[in-house]
Amino acid sequence: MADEHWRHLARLDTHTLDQLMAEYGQAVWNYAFLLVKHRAMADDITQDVFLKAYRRFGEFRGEASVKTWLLRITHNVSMNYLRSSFFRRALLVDRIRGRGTGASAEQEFIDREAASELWRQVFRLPAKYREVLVLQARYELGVAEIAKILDIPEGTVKSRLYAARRRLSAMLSEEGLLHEPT
Amino acid sequence: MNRPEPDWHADLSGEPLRVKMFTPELAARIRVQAEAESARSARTMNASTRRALYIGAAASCLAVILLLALQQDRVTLLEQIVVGDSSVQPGEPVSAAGGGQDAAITGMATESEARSETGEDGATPKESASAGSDGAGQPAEPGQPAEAADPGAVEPDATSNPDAADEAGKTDDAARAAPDDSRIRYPVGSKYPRLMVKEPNREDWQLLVDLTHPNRQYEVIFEDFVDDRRWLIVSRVMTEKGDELRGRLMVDEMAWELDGWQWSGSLEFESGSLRNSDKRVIASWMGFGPKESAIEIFMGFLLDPDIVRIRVTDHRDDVHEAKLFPDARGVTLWYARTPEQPYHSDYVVEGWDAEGNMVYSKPLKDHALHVGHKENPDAEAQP
Repeated sequence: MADEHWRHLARLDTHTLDQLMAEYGQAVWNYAFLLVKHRAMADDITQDVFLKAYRRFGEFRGEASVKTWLLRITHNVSMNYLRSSFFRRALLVDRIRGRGTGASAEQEFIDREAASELWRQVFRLPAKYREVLVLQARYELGVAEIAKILDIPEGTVKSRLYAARRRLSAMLSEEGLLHEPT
Repeated sequence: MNRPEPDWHADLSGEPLRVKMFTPELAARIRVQAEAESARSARTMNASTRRALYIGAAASCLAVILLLALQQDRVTLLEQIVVGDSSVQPGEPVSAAGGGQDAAITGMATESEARSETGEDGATPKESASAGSDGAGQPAEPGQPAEAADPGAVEPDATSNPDAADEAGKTDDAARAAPDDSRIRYPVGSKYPRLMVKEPNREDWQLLVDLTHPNRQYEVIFEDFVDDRRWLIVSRVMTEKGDELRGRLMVDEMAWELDGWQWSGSLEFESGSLRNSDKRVIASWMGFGPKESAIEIFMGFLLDPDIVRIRVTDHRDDVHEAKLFPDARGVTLWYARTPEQPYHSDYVVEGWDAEGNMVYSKPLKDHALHVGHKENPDAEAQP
């Protein structure tokens, strides 16, 4: 559905909420999961995001696209979840890449269901690099939009993007997955 | 940003996962929640409207009373001048609602006599204030006892009190959600149950865990006393599917709230497949509380039968001995925690055999869920 359609809506009802979820549900869930790497938490975050959107759709002024608006809410909600005492740190010690045994259920899930080895490596990146890279490459957002979503200066976005690319290239190289141009 | 994108960049334009995790069930759950919110806000709106109406009605009545009192002063004054009746003292409650001033004066002249009789009948000043009128400008018949004119309009009874009705609504909600167990109550405005037992036993905690996490069937295996206001309740769920055995461990933080124990947070760890694993010890590390006073929780599964003891050491070589909980399915669950202390990012999990030899050692380093974000604890979604 065109962004124009959403711009002209004053509020959501359950029917338009369904439309919004059909269009952006997977994108929101994936973004949340990329941040928290926990399925149940990604479910909860997605629920919170759409309920916030439902309650506050009137605040969407159409300055950004609906997608950017939703991703911003997703980022904020995810950060709140991660900051909460129970998920402040969660170190799943026995991560064994490429093998299921002994890994945490979430790591197993990523190993099993990541769309490609490249994505598996992306999940291994530190969150701050993972996030900017995904927003740019997967969600096709510009630096200014990413800066707005993350509430950081554009310069920081650029430097993170640079570091993320370098880091991921190094990881892919280590794994023998990077095909250097000849 | 002018640098060429790496080769792999374009490959990230697709979905990160092969499966669609935003399921119709999740969408339905959100929709149901949204509908419930709409219904709730409609109810709140109705209550607000009712409240506004009542306030309006009460204000109107007060205005009428005030008007009457003002008129009465004028009437009394006129009375004293025109009729010359000095028996009515200025300020004594006499009513003269509606009607023209002449009628009111006439009525009042008569009424003032009746009033003195009514007053002797024991009518209260409030009743008297609106007595003598049918509300349409007709003075009451002389000699008839004055009746209060619809006192309900001035003072709504409890059933029509919007605040009382709201409160009743909340109580209804709470009563509906509460199980038939005197140990539990649902505080108004909270969706979490409260255990009204000062010193709970295993059965009490189990009840609280069950009601806090409905449909999840955790079995409480250990209660860890932290302080007078806090317990950590350790529970597990083991699931067996064919050859596969998985385990989930949960630690619930239960805090004392006014008059009972209530959930305040959870940590959960779900293992991968436990059978045929080449791991000896599976460990997770999570924490409660702020960095200045964190409680670190270590828990997991012990798969090596030669290890009979697990302990966690920190950077100061303080030892945190793990509790072990053998499970009938052949794995042992373990749990350890630090006291409340400033956060440190280095720990070692050690496994010891029956002869007292350390046969397993695994350093833990915190590098997982630290995400790059500005420190803004009050950040809320600000669309």
